[in-house]
Amino acid sequence: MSVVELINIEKSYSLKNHEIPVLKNINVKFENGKFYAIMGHSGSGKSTLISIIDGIEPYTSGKVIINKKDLSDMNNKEKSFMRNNEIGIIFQDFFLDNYLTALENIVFPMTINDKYKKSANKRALELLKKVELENRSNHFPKELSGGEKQRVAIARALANDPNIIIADEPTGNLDEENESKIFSVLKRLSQEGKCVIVVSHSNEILKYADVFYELKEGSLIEK
Amino acid sequence: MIKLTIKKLFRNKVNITMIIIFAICSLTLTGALMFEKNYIQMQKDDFDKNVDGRTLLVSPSKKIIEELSESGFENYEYDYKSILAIKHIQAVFDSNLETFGETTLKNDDYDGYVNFRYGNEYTLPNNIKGEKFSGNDSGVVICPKNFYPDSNDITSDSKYIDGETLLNTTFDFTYKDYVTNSKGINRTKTFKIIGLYDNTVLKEKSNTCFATAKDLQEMYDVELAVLNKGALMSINVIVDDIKNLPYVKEELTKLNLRGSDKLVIDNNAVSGLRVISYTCIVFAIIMIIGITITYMKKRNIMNKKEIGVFSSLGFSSLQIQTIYMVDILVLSAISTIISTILSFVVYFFILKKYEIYFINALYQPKLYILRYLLAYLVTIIVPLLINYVFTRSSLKNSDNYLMKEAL
Repeated sequence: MSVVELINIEKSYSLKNHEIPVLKNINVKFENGKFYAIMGHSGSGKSTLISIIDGIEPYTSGKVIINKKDLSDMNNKEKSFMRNNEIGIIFQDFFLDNYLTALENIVFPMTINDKYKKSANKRALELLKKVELENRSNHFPKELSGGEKQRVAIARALANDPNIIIADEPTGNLDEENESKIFSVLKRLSQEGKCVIVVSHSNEILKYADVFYELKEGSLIEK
Repeated sequence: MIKLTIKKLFRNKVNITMIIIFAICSLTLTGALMFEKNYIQMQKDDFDKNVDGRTLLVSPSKKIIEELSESGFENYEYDYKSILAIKHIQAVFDSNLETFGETTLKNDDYDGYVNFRYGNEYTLPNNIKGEKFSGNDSGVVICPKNFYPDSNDITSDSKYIDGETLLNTTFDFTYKDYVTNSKGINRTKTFKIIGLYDNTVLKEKSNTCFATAKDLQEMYDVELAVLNKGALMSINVIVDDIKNLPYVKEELTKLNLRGSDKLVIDNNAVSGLRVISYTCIVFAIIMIIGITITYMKKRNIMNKKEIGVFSSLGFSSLQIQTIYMVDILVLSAISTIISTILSFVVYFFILKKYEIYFINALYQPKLYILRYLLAYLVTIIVPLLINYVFTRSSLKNSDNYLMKEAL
């Protein structure tokens, strides 16, 4: 069953009265329990595609369906709710709060979620265990390595138990060893039933992905 | 969300610095507001409570003076009866009747100088411990309950005499007699302290005693009356209320007299002190606004990304705005609390303890709640408003665009 569906998605940017197409007629379905890799050279539109899926980037035409809901029918409040409950986002630069501990960074998105806010601390500890960082719960980001920070970011993305995980170059700032660790964690999440969509330059991802797409000249091609 | 926001706030050393600077600005603002209010109140008290505030210095009109300057002033006499007949007038006497001089209260601690004020049923204080004057009393005075028989102003090191210990005791007052001897010989008159009053309520100096009209006239007749012979002296006219001064002035003109206020505001001093207070107030407000804007600008630049991350985690515009409002609210509230505590410390442990008086020895500064509220209004509401404007402008675009731009 697809949880994310892109139907005839077109995206172009306007530059000095010229339309520059970035994505052309993208049709794709993403399902639970699979690890999807999206690759392509720089400027191919990978990040734009990801941004469209999580509702950041508007698109020129087409439809984005997230958990059976059309993104274009949602107002800002509904989109915020969707991002808090249904999508977990992981960034290349981690974007952890330097003044919150690892545990508190994970708790933070739970504070606005009625389902998890009461048991936030307990759940955050469990998530840290999941990413093998339970003994680093009271450390601040500056005390963590790059790989550890990214694992905390993954735990944060899982805070409200979303079924969709989107990662934009999650290993872009990491060494090979940490890269493998991160991909392993993401693979485990897909095996647990989540829909994991990862944009990456690294060929290492091919060892973990179930489905591999290449974005070339605005089109998404399954490999 | 709020708990974590506050935790974050205190872990950032920049915020601690902000709190301290804010507290200093807030204290400056509060201090300037209190000073301005206290100074105005001090001026007001001088007028409202001191007899001089409702006293006119009266002299003949210009026309009469011109006539007298040819014939001489010797034969001019004030028509006391007609003056006293004017409504609202409580007393009329020669301006030089009130006198001061050395007494036998002089010792190593005091130079013994005492002021004598005209005492009648209208000018005497309301709450007197002991006795008041009655009928044709003579040789009696009513003195301050915290008595300081010295010509110098009271300071924090000065020691009062407890008036209770002097009640019903006597002292001698020295004056000159130019009638018996044209070169002037010393005379003494014995006065008994029959009553005590609180001079701080009437804004009288701590060496001021009230004597009877009879005694003052007796001393005046042999001393200043002789020295001033041939000169035209003004008279004091005491009115029952400040608000009746214009009426009495008007009535006096009908008797070819002109009255001027005995107590006049020193406008230069008032303006000067007001300029200082207002400068401090404006400076503090500008600093508070400036610091808030700088803080918000810094946060805005750093936190375009922060706003983007909040959005990606599912925080709505309203929730993001709340986070930033809580930030600045907590900062300014803590600064305000610190500055309030500091102001209490300054007031109770420095001003009151060391009896540091407010410009003159008869006024002790007070803390005014409304001035505190005004200071709070500036130090809390102004930063909140600035924060609201900044954050609102950052969130003006749809949160989607902002997130994309930030990330």
